[in-house]
Amino acid sequence: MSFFGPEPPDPAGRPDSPDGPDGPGPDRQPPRRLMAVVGGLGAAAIVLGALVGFTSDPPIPLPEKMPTMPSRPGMAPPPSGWPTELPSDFPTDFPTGLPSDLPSDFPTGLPSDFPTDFPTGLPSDFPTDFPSGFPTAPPGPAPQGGTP
Amino acid sequence: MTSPDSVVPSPPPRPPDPFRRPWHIALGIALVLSAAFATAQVLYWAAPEITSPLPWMRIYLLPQPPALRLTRVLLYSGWGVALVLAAVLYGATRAGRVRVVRVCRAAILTVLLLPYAVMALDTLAGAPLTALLCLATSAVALLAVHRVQLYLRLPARLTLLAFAWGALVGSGFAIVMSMWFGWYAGGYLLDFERPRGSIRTLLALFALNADFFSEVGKAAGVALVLLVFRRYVDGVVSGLVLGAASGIGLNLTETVRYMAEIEPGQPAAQFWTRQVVGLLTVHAVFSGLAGAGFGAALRAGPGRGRVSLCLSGLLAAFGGHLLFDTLMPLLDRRRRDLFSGAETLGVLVGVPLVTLIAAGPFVVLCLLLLRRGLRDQAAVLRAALPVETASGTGAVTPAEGGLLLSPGRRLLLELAVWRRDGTAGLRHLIRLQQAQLRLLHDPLPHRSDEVRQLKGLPPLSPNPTLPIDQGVSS
Repeated sequence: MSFFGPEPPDPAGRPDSPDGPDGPGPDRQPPRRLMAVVGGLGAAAIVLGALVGFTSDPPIPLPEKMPTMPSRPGMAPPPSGWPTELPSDFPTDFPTGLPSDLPSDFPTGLPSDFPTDFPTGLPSDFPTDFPSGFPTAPPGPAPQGGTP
Repeated sequence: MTSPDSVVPSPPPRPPDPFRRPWHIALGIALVLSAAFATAQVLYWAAPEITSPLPWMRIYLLPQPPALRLTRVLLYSGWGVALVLAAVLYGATRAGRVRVVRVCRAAILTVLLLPYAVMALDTLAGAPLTALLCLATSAVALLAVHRVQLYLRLPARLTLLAFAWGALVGSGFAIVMSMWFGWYAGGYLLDFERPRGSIRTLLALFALNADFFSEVGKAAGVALVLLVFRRYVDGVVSGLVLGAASGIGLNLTETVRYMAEIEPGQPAAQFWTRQVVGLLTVHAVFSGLAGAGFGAALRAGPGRGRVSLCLSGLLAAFGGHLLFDTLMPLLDRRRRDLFSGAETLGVLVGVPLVTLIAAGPFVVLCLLLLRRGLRDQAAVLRAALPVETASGTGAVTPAEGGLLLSPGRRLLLELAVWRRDGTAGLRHLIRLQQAQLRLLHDPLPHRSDEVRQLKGLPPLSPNPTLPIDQGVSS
């Protein structure tokens, strides 16, 4: 049975030897032991990668706790401009190049009236001076990342 | 009177197919991708709303790009079309209408899988010059991967097919799944009272999600190509080559995305990192490991052994990718510290260094598998050569046998023929040598005639009507 159904005789034949895929001969056996080692190393890499990922801090310098924020922006307008002075428990190298004004009709759910010039795509919309926090897009001349 | 569709010619006796139900496996692969997409969609719909106005949370409140909306429309329509085709397929199978069965199966796979290519096409079309530049280096890598098959080679079109899958469907699927996660994960995981811990978890899970689905996307294509064209597959080497090609394809789309969208301020560094240093050491290696597992499974008997071989390859692919992605930010900080006064040197030397540390072990695994596969092939050819040369068919002479077993000598001959006869002569020589190698590897009766035809000799069998196997071209 071929992939798409019964077909006329296959002139190119089959890769299997007449005595089956695991027949006698030097090569017919797949490298089971080597693949087992490969799989074991892969499993170990998953564990190690998860450990490293869940225990290391992202490049974003975030505080342990946040000050209280309005839960519905727009209903309680923020102070004139976004705070220009950060709370004292923030790290001093916290990025300051963030937008200073929020729209007064900032949506609480997913937006239908978002600014039309808002960048699309993830995570490409981060400001260029904001360190990219995803492990798959490290800043600078980034080594390979897994984010496709 | 029977219709042409219902006539099923009786095939000659042949060895049992290593896969009894390849169509069901292929359909299962397509359904797994669809189920993953549907699950992500449901999680997105059910995710709690994010109400924080914190600037970096805007990422979770973005509108969906048009390409994703189109992907969703095509997928939803595709699922409906697939259901209808399934009913037609069922009827055609019962009626024995071979051609209709084939068309239905191909159509079902197409409507379930092709919509993912929209995201990748959107990325590539958005930066065509960048895509062309990356295509040039990818072509060199593909040629290297193809030629690493020192003995039996897959048809070049299969390598290109795997590459196209990785660049379009595989990467599109991975992009879509990453986007979904980016949209729904924040609602479930963010804790604005303790942002540091929750964002750390979120980023770790983001990497896990991205790496898992990018490997699944690449591996799905490799598995499909191996299933459909399994008569050309000889084992580990073929699977590894197809996996590497798929990885090179995904790497191309990812590089274009990073250069054009994610890190547009550093295109040269991104190109160096991804299309030079990482071209054959990151994505190609990870999906190569998965492909090697599939290729080995193709040679194994049915049962748990086959499943464990596939699983080993997939674990290595996912584990390697995850470890790479979680280690790289840490290594990159060290790199910056080490080359703090010399950024250019940090890119030219430091990036290869950290890539070597993070991906090196998996590159070594890949090379070990390749070496083992090539040695196994060589052993089979060496054992079969005296038998074939003694058979008297003239398909493989003793002098040719020595040449066939020596990749270096064959390369020198190829260069000499190319200089003398040009590309046409070279292609004919490669076709002849590949046909001879396949005859040695699997001595099926018609292959002797095939080789004799290529040599310009009369066939031995009385009814030499079988066409030359087009699949053995370089």
